[in-house]
Amino acid sequence: MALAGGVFILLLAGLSFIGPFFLEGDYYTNTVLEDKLTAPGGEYTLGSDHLGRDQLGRIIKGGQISLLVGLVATFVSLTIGIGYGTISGYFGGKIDSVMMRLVDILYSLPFVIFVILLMVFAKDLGDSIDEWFRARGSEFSISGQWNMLLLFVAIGAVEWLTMARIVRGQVMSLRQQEFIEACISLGLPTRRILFRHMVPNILGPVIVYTTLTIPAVMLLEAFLSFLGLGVQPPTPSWGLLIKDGADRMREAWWMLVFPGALFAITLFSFNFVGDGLRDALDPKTSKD
Amino acid sequence: MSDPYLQINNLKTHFPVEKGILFRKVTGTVKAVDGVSLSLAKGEVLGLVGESGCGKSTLGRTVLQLIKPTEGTVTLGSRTLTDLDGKELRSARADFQMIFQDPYASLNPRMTVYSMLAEAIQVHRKVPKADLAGAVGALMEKVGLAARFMRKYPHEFSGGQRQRIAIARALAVEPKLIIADEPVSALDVSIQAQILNLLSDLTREMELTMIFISHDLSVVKHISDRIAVMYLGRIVEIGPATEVFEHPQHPYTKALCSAVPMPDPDSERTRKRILLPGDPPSPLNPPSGCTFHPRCPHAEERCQAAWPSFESLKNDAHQAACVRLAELNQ
Repeated sequence: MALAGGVFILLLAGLSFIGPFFLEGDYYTNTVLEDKLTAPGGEYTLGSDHLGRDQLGRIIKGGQISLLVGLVATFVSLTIGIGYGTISGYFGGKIDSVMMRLVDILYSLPFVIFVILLMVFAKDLGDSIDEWFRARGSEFSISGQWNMLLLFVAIGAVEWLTMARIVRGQVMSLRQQEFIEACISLGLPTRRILFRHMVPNILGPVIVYTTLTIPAVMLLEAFLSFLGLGVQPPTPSWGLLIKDGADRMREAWWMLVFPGALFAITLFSFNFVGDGLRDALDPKTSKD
Repeated sequence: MSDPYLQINNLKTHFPVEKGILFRKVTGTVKAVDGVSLSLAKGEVLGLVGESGCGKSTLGRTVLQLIKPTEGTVTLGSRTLTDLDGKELRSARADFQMIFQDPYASLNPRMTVYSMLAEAIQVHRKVPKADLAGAVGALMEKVGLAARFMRKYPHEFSGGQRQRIAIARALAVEPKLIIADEPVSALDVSIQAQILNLLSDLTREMELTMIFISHDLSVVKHISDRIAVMYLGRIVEIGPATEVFEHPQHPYTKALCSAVPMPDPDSERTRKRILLPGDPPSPLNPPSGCTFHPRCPHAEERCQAAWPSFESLKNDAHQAACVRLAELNQ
């Protein structure tokens, strides 16, 4: 199962990231209004949408965005969450109190307001960075990707909180174990105890939570895009495609079914891969 | 006694008991270790016995600086461990190691025996990478494990083998003092003997000084040169192993010794047991004077006044803290 999931994700990633090289530049924006809402088959393999755009091309482009957001934002939240939670749980006491209160405060900020503030204030930042490079005679420009970057930051900034809490709880219970005391007694440096002894032992729950985070992040992206804060049309993402599809469910089922099914299978695959990873990393369950 | 190698001086470990969510208030202290003085010669094995919760393990962990003492000093060789901090303490840890009670919890389940022992060897010594496997193998053979098992994980070993791995890890830094915190109580009786023999062979071979903590008198008697009996954070009797076991002087030790079952059914039937009334008092709120007086069959009024000082009868090395020591042991 894990292998099948992994193969599927790899295929999907291949299709979304390498596939476009074989397609025309405007494969996901090419609007032919006369062909709107064409059923699958014929010229449009997976049908066309309400503006006569090729559904297959839009799903491919949407996969790029969704996978990228899902993986990068999860990776960001994983890194911050593990580091933060481990330190907080291991040192305990005052350090833990301060660090966890900060998490509580961030938790209590309404997510949408936080993202809106971030988007509004940081939007100009992208332009000024471009300006800065241009002033130095460089062609470098990031404002094209700036929105995506902000999306990663916004989602990552929210998702790491839960991860930090989970990791902290695990580390706190692990700290009571005698093998950690044995490490201290051996005189191992703290950094080594944390990252060689603690982190490998908390991977089980972390991986499970990660497989839950990826779909959550993808949904969050859909939600933000819906509000107009994430991906900007005409660029599609799976979340946007599903939303468009849901609006026209009665007249054009293919607009909902294809992206929806792909989304569901992808999430399943991530879960299977997560389970497989957890078992593979645990010496007790690996067969050799 | 020849000049002591490990000296514990009036060691106290108190834990504050806190209440309240926002503003933590100290509502009391648990006196887990309350004024323990001991000295051990180099190569000596001291057995530390007492009931559950009397502070044996806390004493062990405080001596090893895993818990900071509230008061008192611990001196090992020429170094006062209680004065060390941070980096100094970490490098000093090469001299003293601990063997833990539960061999299932004391080994990292995600590391192979090799990586565990290699890590321990390299903490305080520079060993070239090429020699590392050899060093790990030698260490494993020293504790009676075949070197070919070094790529296995802890869960692939039995309890006794795991305890051998834990011993090997403690020995990897070439320590001089070992504190064994009930190292055999989690093991089967048949395996207990093997581990005990291993420990006593190793102490002799490597001239280790050892404090052996246990609540099992027969186990302690087997391995120790001297025995110290602890009750509620204090030592009540200390002396040569056979003497404490065969002629206990303190009423508490007498009760403790009478609880040991005898292998011979005839003498087991006629064995006189001294049953102590009640439970050990809470270390949160210990009784006044001699803390044993509420349960002592020989208690008098003066027992409640003050903690008795150590006295010895015939042998100076055998001491007990009881005001009625002389009259009770005529």
